[in-house]
Amino acid sequence: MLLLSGNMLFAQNEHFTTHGTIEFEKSANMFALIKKLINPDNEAFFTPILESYKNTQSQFTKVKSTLTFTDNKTMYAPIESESANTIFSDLAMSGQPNVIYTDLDTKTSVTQKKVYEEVFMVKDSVRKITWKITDETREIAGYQCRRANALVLDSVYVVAFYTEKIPVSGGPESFSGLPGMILGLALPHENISWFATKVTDAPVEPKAMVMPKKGKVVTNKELVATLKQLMKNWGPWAQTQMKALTL
Amino acid sequence: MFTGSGGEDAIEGWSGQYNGQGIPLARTGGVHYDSKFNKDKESINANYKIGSLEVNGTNNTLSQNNLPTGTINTDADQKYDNYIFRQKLDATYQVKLDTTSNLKIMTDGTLKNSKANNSNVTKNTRGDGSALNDNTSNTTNNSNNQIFNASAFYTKKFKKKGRTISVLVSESYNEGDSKGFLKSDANFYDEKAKLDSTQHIDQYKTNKTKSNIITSNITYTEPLSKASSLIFNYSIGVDNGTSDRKSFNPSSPGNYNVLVDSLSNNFKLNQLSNQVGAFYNFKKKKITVNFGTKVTAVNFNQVDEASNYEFKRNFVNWNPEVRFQYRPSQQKYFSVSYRGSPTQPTIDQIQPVAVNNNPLLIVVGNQALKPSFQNSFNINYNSYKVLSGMSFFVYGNYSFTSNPIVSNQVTNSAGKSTIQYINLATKDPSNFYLDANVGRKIGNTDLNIGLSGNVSGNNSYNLSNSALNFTKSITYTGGIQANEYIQKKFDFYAFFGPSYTLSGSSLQPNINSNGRGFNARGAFTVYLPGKFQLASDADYLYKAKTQTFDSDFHRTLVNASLSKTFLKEDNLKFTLAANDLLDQNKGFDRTVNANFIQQNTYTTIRRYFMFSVTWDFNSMGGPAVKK
Repeated sequence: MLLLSGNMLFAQNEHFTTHGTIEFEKSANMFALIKKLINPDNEAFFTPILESYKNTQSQFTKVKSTLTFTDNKTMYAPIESESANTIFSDLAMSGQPNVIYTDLDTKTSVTQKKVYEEVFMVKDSVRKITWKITDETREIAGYQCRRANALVLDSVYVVAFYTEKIPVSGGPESFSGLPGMILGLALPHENISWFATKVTDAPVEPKAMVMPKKGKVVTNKELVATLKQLMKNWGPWAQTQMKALTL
Repeated sequence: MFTGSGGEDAIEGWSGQYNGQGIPLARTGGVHYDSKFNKDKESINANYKIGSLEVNGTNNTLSQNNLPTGTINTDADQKYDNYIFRQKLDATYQVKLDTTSNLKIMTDGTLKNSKANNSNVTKNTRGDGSALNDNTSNTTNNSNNQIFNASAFYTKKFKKKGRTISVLVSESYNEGDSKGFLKSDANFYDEKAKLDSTQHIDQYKTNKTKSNIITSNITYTEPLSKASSLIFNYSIGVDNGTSDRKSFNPSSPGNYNVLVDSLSNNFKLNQLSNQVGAFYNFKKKKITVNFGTKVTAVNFNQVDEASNYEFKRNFVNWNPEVRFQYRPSQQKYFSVSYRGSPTQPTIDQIQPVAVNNNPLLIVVGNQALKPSFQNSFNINYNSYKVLSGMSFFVYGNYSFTSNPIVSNQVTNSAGKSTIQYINLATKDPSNFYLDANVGRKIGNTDLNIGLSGNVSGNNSYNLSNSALNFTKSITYTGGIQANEYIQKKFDFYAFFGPSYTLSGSSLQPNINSNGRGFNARGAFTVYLPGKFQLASDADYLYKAKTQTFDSDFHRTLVNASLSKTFLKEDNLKFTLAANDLLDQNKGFDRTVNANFIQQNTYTTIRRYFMFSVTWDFNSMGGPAVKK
């Protein structure tokens, strides 16, 4: 009698994933990103470059990363891409400059960020995002996800899809704070998006959660000030580069 | 003596290029049309240009010819007035035949008419100052050219990624017809400076040329792996041409109908070249390697129509190339490369057509000439740190030529010279260039300063009265530079540094052209309130006197402009500009080559003021880009 009721109890509880690895794929619309670099001052020179890029390269550049999570902590790291350096490899918006360790209990994060020839170690509290949860749902990597919208850095519109089946309020890059893991993330006006391609539910070894050591320790405020000083004479495209490096 | 720098053989007709000498007057106009249609699969681009250019001016050349028997000093004055009128129509049509193949067709046609008028007065004196010879001449020329080119370029991508083929077929037709007169009077003096003989030339010259070149090239790329590929190419070229040159002496004044056989000839030329090439490319992460070579077999045949004498030459030319690059980031790279290239002797060096525009200088042919081969090495290191503003780059180049083609100039006691080109198997002329530059941003400011250094040298050989002459020159320059750029506020740039040149030739060891120099230049732009902009730039050049040229040279060029922009997008601009405010731009040049050391002064554009209006009303046509 007891055994039977025990079985029925298990069947009622759904399975929640609290540890594992997620593979993400970031997609950047290069045609749109390069087109945004063109202004009346440089269009005679830049337009043929864009035409030639359109003829020889594919529209979307795709790069992979992994998010490992356990014990309410997440570790996000890019997977080195095999593809060669094209002349737009410096565009931060399409690249993956960050390795991020987030502690969702203390709401702090450590980010190793590559900025040109320097490597910074940004230690700060997690970005506070005011999410507006909607009714829209979609399936990503086999999980039912719900849509939430937000505005970050005062002007960047973000659309995220999270799943309550993974009750960890983390996500790729620096995005967190929803009642479940973010499996899909899009910045439509910045022409980039991340989508989970595979979710693996498995225990995580401690060494997979270790941050790399190299980097000059700064706070987010100090990093922003350094970049502002560097880019103040770069012209209109510096704004986009700034956004990408501080996301 | 050679004609001054930048001059072409006046009988060939002027090429229509303004090279910085003389006062130019240019009038040009044109129409451009381009459009895309059929869902952007087809596009057409057409241009029509019409224009004329007139350049006139004077030119003086002082030079020293170093001979084993002594020195000959030349003072040559030239006055020229050249005019060219051109029309060109070209069209390019591109079509995407399907998702994998593309066809591009280009055609163009040009009509040219040029008129040249050159007067020369040349005086040659011996090292002791006594007169050797002098020549006063005038050449005029009127020539017409028709040029037509057409080419078709087809590219196709195969299913396998990286496998492509491309085919290029092109045709180039050029027809020229020129007529002109040569009048010259030359006087020759003996060692006691007494008039020994004179030479008078009064000739009418015509030259008709036709050339038709057809080339075809196939290039095939085969990927070996994700990181490497092989490129093969085969190309064939057929070049047919005719050249009919006549000189006439007058039988009676104004009646030029006596053909001068020694200065007339009628040639037919055929050249067939076959080329095969293979290259290997490897690119993975930070490393790129390319190497390969092209081999060309050239069969050259020249038929003298008067005597039916056929002159055949065959050459095999190799063009090997190797390149290695290590690029750890966008702003840091290192590369090293080698390139070998042969230089075929020119028709004029092998079998020149007799040209007597300068009765003091005759070129004699050498049918045994073989191509020379130049080996060139390059090394390059470049590093820029964006955040700290530190930059460092080094560039070096060294090249030497084996079996070089050098000139042997034999000058007799009356000052008449003949030049013949020979292969010098025992010596390798060489040159090198090394340039290094280091710079950095100062602290948190926007000021950048840098240090640069440069060494370049040249070893060349030639024969003078059949004695080997070795000419060597090395120039050292160094400098300090500073620049700052603050968006919409101001920017400036400044550089100053000394230079030192050592040069001389072995046949005249007691005479050299060693000298110091100094150069400073700078520019600034200031953005003033009210949308005004003030800009100015200056260039100061100093060359100390040398053993060969006994006067110092200074020149300060200052330009300035004041402009104001209007309209919201700043696309209407009124500018008041001044060029060479201090009126010091007298054309001046000093060079050393072979056994000549030469100083040239020439007419050039001097001080002027200009008011201009620029309106950028719609940059590239089409709808405006929304921000």
